[in-house]
Amino acid sequence: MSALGELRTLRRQGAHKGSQALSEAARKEERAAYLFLVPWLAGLVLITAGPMVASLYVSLTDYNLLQPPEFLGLANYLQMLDDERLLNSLGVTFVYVFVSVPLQLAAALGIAVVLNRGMRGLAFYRSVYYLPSLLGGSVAVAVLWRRLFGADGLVNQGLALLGVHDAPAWVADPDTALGTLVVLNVWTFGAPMVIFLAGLRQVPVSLYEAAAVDGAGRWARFARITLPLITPIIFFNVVLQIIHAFQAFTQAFIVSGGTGGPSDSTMFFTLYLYQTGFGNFQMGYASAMAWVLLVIVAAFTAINFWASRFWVFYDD
Amino acid sequence: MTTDALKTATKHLVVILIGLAMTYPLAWMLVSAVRDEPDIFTTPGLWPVGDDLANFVEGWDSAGLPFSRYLVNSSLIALGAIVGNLVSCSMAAYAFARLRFRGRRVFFGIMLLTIMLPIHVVIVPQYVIFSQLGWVNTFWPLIVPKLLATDAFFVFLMVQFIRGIPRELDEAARIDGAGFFRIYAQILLPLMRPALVTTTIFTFIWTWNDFFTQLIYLTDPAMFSTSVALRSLVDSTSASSWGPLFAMSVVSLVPVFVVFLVGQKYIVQGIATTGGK
Amino acid sequence: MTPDLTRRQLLGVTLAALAASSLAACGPKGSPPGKPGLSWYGGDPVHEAMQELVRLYGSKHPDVDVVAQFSAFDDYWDRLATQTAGRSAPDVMRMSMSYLADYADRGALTDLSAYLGKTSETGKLISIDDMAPDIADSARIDGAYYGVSQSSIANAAFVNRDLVAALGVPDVDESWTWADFGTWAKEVGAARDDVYGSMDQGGSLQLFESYVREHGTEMFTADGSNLAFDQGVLEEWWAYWDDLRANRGAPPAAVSAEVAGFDTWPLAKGTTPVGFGWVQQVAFVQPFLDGPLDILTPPTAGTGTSGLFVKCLDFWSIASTSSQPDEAARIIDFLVNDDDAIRTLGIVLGVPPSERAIGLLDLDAGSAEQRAVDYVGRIADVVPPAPPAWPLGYNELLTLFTKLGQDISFGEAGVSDAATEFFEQAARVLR
Repeated sequence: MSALGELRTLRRQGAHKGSQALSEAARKEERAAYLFLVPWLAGLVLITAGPMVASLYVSLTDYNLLQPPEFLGLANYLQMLDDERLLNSLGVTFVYVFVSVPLQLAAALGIAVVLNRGMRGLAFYRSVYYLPSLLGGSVAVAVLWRRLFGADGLVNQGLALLGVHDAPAWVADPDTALGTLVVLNVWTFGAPMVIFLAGLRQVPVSLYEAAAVDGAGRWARFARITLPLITPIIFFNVVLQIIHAFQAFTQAFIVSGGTGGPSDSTMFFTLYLYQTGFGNFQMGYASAMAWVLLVIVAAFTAINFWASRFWVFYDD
Repeated sequence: MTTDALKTATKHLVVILIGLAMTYPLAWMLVSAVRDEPDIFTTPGLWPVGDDLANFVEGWDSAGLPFSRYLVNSSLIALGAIVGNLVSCSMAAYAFARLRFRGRRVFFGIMLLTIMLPIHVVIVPQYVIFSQLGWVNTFWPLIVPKLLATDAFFVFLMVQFIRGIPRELDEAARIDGAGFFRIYAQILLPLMRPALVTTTIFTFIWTWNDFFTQLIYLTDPAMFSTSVALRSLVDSTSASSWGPLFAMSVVSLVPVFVVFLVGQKYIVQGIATTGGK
Repeated sequence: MTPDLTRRQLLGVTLAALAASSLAACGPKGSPPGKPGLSWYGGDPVHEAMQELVRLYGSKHPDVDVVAQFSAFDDYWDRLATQTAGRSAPDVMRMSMSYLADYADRGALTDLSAYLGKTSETGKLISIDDMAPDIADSARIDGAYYGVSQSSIANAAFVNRDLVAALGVPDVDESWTWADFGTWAKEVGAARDDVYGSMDQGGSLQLFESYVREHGTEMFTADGSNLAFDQGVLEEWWAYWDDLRANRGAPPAAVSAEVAGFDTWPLAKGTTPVGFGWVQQVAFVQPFLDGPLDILTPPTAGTGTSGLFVKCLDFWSIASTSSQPDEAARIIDFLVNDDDAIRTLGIVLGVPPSERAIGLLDLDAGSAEQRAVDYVGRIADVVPPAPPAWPLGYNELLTLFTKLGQDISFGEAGVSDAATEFFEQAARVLR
């Protein structure tokens, strides 16, 4: 790493030489950058930004979707403070994020490492482990989850064999329903697993070989070489999985039949937002909720980026 | 030697056991697809395996058109989305990861913000835009956004991968007189193959499984994607066709599985290119 | 991140948004002439029958190419709301009573008064000769007609007589009161430890409406601006079911919370001998049981007044933005009056809305469908007049009622607290 560091320093020094030549080069680089960004900028202006700002405006209005919005000011935002179901849904969402994201990422990384190399039949195993993620939000999952975690589901039948007879009806009990969704999320760890795998594949074998010559053990090699080199990928997964988990919707929607039940125990923030907007025709309020969520998620993402300086190592 | 063999055997055993837990649900789905409808809900285990192919026959012609139509539609949408994501996201990612320009951090922040707003509050204004363009009931509302790199997930993914590629490589190419486009196309793209393959696989799977936007934009049954056709089989207010649903879920799972099976091989091959550096 | 830049960004983005919202304000575009849109919700049997009807209409009107759209109930409303917001709702749409006022009161539906009438009247494109007044008037709000009825519907109790006999408890008949029923249900629960008396109806706003009507008022005030009944009636209802749950008269909360479709109804699984629902639902539960389900009128309060009613809950409506309302009206007339259409539909949309239509059907004697049709025919003339259309916000209250019922059953809320909450929320939702 130190050799790379030296190179980096050299490069930086070089960059500050000859300001005249630099600004010419810098201008060229900037022009190139904007050219490369043309599709993205066009998408931002034509497709993404308009609806986003429209929803920000709508969040300040009473908008029932069928009639033009009426301006309200901050009323929607103030109403949230008194909305117990909303505060509850926020709590459910936070629990979900903080429990399921670490579990899912740990499972994904662990299995990606095991399935990276050194075993026969890896391609097969990888595919098998990805299978649940293919099912994703399919309606079949709803039935499946009830069959697994219902009162007379497979899990309880298994427990009965072990002598446990008073197990709850996991999906239908407010104390455990959210837990089954966490399990569902962990079970579909395929996406971060594949990203980890791809990251692991970028780690040059030569580094391992060098370390093996040095006599480093397997754990030492993992901790000293693999882990630092894939920190950008770990970082990516952490950031994105948190963003996704805060917006978790489909699985709760499908498993609870759209209700967020039993007794609001799986009422995620976005599910409540959706019910409010489309079920109750309060798109103004729903939009306000969405922007609150955006601020929360953005804050977490910003913290993540700030914290990343301390543990993420880039090669550039 | 024997301890090594033991270790390998244990490792395989653990991997297989977890694998079984992972695939049980799928096996159950397969078995359910050939069961009579009431049995789907009353038989908890995998046994007895049904042998009733009627669900496939009925499911294939459900929603009015042969299911192949929906498979083709979904494939077209996915194909367009893949091309779009590969080209546009890698371009944006190159700019963000390697080039210096004013507003880079701001733009990057805005890009991340765009994926933080739930779809449900932006779908209506977005629908208005596409409806005015006359694009409702076409695949364009599902493909064009991908061509314009609106999927920040993949831009960010590629940025992270590019930043994992030593800068010395493009620096060296620049000294040899290569322009930005050549560096992007001939140095970075080949080196980020794992990321590109990952993008391809994910785009395919996620487009295939996407429901909400496809529900909104594809209203004509002839334009239905597989997910829209599948969901039309399950209705909470009347009788749902669970048997056909399971059968067709299995059918629609085949393409994604094949894509993954083929794709993961290329992720693995990434080592051949980057390993030697 | 200099403030200058962000401000500039914001400005640009705001302009884009302005562009977007001005787009929304554009006038109606509507469907192209000769290509009216027709949309419906339902399961696969509905989709198949309706697509056949679309073909049939095409063969009778070669110059018209009806463009069909369909999805399952839950998904249907997301799409319809989006389309309506984008001023491109289909010309003819299936409309549920749960949403009727939401759409009608906000100007999304056409008043059909000008189209409805006797066949003999000129210029009346949709004939309602054959419908009973309660059915014909189901979609009437403030004197305007926002939908044409597709079916006739009523609350019913479904009884698994085989299970009752097997348990050795007394048989039941339509003379039952809620008090009798409670005692009987607990007896059922005591008979075997894997059976409970009745499916839990604590969270059913629809059955509760019948209950309210037996206590002297409608559920909503005539103008739909408030609840018309006393909070005590609701507390009584929830306490009744709480007592049943506590004494095996109804399943524990977690069993009921597992219900997610007809396949998971305790009645379908043989866990209870009694379930409740809209009468045509008997056909969706029946396939899971060997013996025929008997259809009874639900228990009464014993006050002498019945709370039952026959009305319609699903309609054909025309979008207010329709560019060809006359053609749309002709399509609706075809859907509800054409002999071939009636025969093709059968009872996939529910029990047909008129005697004539029922007479055209050729159902298997003894089938669940035939029993449902018989039930409606049997009670139609003896029940009191139907309540007016459900008011704006009904769907929100429906969801809330179920949720509060569930809170009580899981012990997360007390009966009176939940009732107070329901009344408070109703005051906010109803206008």
